[in-house]
Amino acid sequence: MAAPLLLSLLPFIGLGFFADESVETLLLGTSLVLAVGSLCWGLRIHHQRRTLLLLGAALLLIVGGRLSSEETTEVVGVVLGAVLLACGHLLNRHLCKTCLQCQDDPMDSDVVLQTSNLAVGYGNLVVLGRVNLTIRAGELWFVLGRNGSGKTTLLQALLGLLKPQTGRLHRQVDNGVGFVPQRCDINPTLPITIREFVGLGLVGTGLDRATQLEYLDRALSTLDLDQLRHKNYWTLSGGQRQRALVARALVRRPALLILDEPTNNLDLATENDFLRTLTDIHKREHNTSLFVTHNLSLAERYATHIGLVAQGTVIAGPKAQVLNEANLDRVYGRGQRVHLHVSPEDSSELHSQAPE
Amino acid sequence: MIDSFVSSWPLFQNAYLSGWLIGILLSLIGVLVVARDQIFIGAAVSQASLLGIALGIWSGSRLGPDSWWNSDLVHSFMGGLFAVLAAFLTTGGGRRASQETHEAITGWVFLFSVSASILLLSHSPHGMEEVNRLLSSTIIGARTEDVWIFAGMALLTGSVLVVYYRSVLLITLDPVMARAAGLRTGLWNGLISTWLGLTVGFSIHVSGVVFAFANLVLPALIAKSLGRTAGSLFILAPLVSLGMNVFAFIVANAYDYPPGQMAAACLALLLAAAWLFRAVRPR
Repeated sequence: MAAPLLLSLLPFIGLGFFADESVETLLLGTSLVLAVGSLCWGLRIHHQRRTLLLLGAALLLIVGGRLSSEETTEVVGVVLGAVLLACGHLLNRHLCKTCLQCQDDPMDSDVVLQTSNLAVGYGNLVVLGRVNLTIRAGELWFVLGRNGSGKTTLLQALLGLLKPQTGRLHRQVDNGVGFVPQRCDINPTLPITIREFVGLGLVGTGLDRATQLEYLDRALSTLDLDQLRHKNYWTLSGGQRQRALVARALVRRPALLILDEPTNNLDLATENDFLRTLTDIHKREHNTSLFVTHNLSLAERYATHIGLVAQGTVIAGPKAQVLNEANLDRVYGRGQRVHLHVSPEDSSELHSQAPE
Repeated sequence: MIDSFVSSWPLFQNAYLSGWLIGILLSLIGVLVVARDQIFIGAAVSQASLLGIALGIWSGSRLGPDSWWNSDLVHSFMGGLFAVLAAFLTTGGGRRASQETHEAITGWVFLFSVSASILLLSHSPHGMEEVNRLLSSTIIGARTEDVWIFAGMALLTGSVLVVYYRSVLLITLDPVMARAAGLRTGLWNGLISTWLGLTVGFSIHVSGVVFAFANLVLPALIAKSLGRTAGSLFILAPLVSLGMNVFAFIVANAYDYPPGQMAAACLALLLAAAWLFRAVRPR
């Protein structure tokens, strides 16, 4: 928002160079139009109120033009007002999908996240289309796919970092989404204690101080970081840092926890410990989690639901329905042999092999 | 030494107070710049501010000596505006548009600004005098209004940091997590860039490039070397800035040195000592 708001100042600055009153009005009007438009856009004001605001700005211009004795200024004011309304209408049509109030369609109370015919990508490039996902409370999702298939794009869309190109994305998450990245990219020379680091996850919760401290203590003890709370984040081992990232995501008790390949940089033993901790938390607190990973065997072992990213879309649903050889062929190709063994408890065991 | 400083107070009180307040203000903003490890953005923003002031002087000279465009307020505004634009270019907008690293954009902004500001005014004796004054950092010309402006800006900055400390820190350190937590990162980053540009732009018009850049990055770097928590940086940095600027102004007054350069040199020496301290301190 700030960039267009700044641009709106440029015509205003141009005032210094022109003595002609009609040109001054034109520049002032352009500044006003751009400023109101940028504010509405940036603050995600409801499209109906946005129209009202633009109408108000247009009227201001027209009244401003009338108050002036110059006839030309009045004409400029009226023309600008009309142009402003036309631009406002086009802007509203384009930006309606980003308007928060317009996304408030009712969903089932246990649905945490839902997409319908979602298409996401970069610029004009559509990376994923026809994405239909319904994530309900307590489910443990694993999203799998080959490199470059669009897993990161999907994750960015779910986190709200990418706007939908078409379709809808609904998030019913009061406390926001907890996010665990692959690694922490903060400046490694910055002194930051574990307590401070985990506390950053409380941003935007609006909780009082006592509750924040209670949440913080609980997150630290859940991830076994109690004794390390005053240690510098950068002095910890890889596994401890990864636990701190999970604690930071969990501290706000989010309705949805998203983990982006969280075990990528861990050795096998640390990876097992880390996953055991996460599954224990999931069993105990019944939170909703979504793992993005390459690891089929992890997904097979822990998931309740699977999303397979392939051929520009996502095949999603309960594990038993989605995890079959036909779907895995779509994801990994026929050259990759996949054996699926279903156990008596309907807990399938999966082995993947490199092509022979 | 102290007596000499006290006796100079009636004459230079606005300069001293403005310098100290600029130091407090910029050191608070500087913590965010240092936390992102984007130190040379401060240099580029400072030079861009100088280009804005040079453009203001140049356009004012074309409009005639009686034009309102020649006022100090307009020059400060132009300095602030160009600093804001540079802050946007170097902290994201430019990188997205050119698909370059922020170091490359920062280098471009710095070199274009420093060369263009001199080229614009190279045929204007008064203009070059002003550019030289800003480059050589003198705070002697500060006025009472400047003291109030910087006191207000420092107070506003401190208040926002007290209230929104965690939000600002999260957005500075990890914008992806901030977005996931529901914060409007674009809006916050825009506000931070705007405020960085405005504070640097206004400060440079009063104190010059060296003093402003030194107070933007050195106190925060010293605080980073001495502090053990991220929160302590927001307290240590302004304290270091205020302490060293008071000391530097007293020494500069006693031995007749330029105060801006003295403050920058004292802060740089203290940073070297802080690095040494960090190297020998038990972890």
